[in-house]
Amino acid sequence: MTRSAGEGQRSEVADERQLVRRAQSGDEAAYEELVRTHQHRVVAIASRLLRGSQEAEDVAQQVFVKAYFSLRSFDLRSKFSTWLYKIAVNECWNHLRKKKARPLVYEADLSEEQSERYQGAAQRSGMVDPEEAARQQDLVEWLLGQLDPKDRMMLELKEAQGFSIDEISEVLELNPNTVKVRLFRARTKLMELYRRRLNPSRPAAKRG
Amino acid sequence: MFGKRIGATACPAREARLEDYIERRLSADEAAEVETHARSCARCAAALDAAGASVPLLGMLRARPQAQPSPYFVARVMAAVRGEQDVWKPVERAAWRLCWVATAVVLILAAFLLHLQRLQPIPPAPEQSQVQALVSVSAPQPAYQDDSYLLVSSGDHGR
Repeated sequence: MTRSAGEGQRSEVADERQLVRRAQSGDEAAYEELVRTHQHRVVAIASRLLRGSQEAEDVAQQVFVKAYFSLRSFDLRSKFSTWLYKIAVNECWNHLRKKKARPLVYEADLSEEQSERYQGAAQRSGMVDPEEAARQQDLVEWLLGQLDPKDRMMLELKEAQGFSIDEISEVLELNPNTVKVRLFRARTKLMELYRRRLNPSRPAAKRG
Repeated sequence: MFGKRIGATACPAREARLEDYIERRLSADEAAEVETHARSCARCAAALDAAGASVPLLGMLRARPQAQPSPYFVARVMAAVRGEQDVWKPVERAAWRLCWVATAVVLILAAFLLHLQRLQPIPPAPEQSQVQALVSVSAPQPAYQDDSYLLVSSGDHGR
C-alpha cells in the first residue's frame, strides 16, 4: 500500500523530531544527520542574503555551530527548519551589520549603455536567450542591492527562497499582516527604482 | 492594468490585501472587491500595477542556480562543533567545580557559626528590680520643676 504525501510528510517531521531529541541529549551522529539534511538550504539562504559573498559558507557553518549549542533551548513547538532558518537570518544580518558596507557582488552602478541594454531586454518578452536572462537577473540583483537591507531580506526570502508568509513571519518574528504590508511596499519601491533606472530623466524632470 | 503612475503608495489599510491579490491568495469574490476598489482609487491602482510587475521580475531569482555547500561542509561543521566543545568543556568543568567548592565553603561556615552560637551560655533574664534601677540611672530626673525650665532656657543666656 502506498502512503499519501501528507502521511509521508508527517513521518518525516516525526523522524526529524526524533533526531532533534537525540541531538539534544548529546548524540553527535543525530546532529550530523540534521546538518546533512539542512545544509543546502542554509548555505543557499546565507549565499543569497550575503549576496554571493565568499564568506557565505563560513556563516552557514557558524549557523550550525550556534544551533548545536542552543539546541537545548529549542522546545520542539515549531519546526526545526524554521528555528534553524531564524538563526541563519540573524547570523547573516549580524554579519552584514558588522561589515557595515553591503557586500555587493553587483555593486557597480549601471552605465547608460547597460541601462539601454536592460531596457531592451525588459521590453522583449519570452526571454529565450540565456544571456539576456542572465542580464535581467543581474539587473534584479542590482535593484535588490539598492533597497533597504530589511526589505531586501524579505523579498529574497519570499522570492528567491520560496518562503511562505507564515514562515517569514516566524523567522523574522513579525505579524503575518506586517510581512504582507512590508513585502508590498518593498515591491513598489523596487519597481520605482526599476523605472528610474530605465528612464533616468523622469524623476529629474519631476524634481526640476 | 489599473494605472500608469509608479511610486505612489496604496491606501495603508489595503496594502496587505493588495499583496494577497498579486500573490493570488484571494478568493474570486475577494479579488473582485480589490479590483473594484482599484478602479476608483488611483493610488492603489498605481501601487498594484507596480507591485504586480515585480512578480515576474523577482521570479527570475528562482531561476538562478542556488549556491551549493562544498563536499566537506558537514565534516567542517562537525569539526567546528567538536572544536568548540573542546574549548568550552574544561571551562564548564572548572566553573562547576568552583560552584561546588563555593557551596561547600558556605555550608561549612554556616555550620561553624551555628555551633559557636550554641556554645555561648545564654545570660539569665534580669530581675524586675534590676530593670527599674537601670531605668532610673539612665534617665536622671531634675530635682526641681524650675531646674528643668533653666535647662531648657539656658541656651538663651549668652545672647
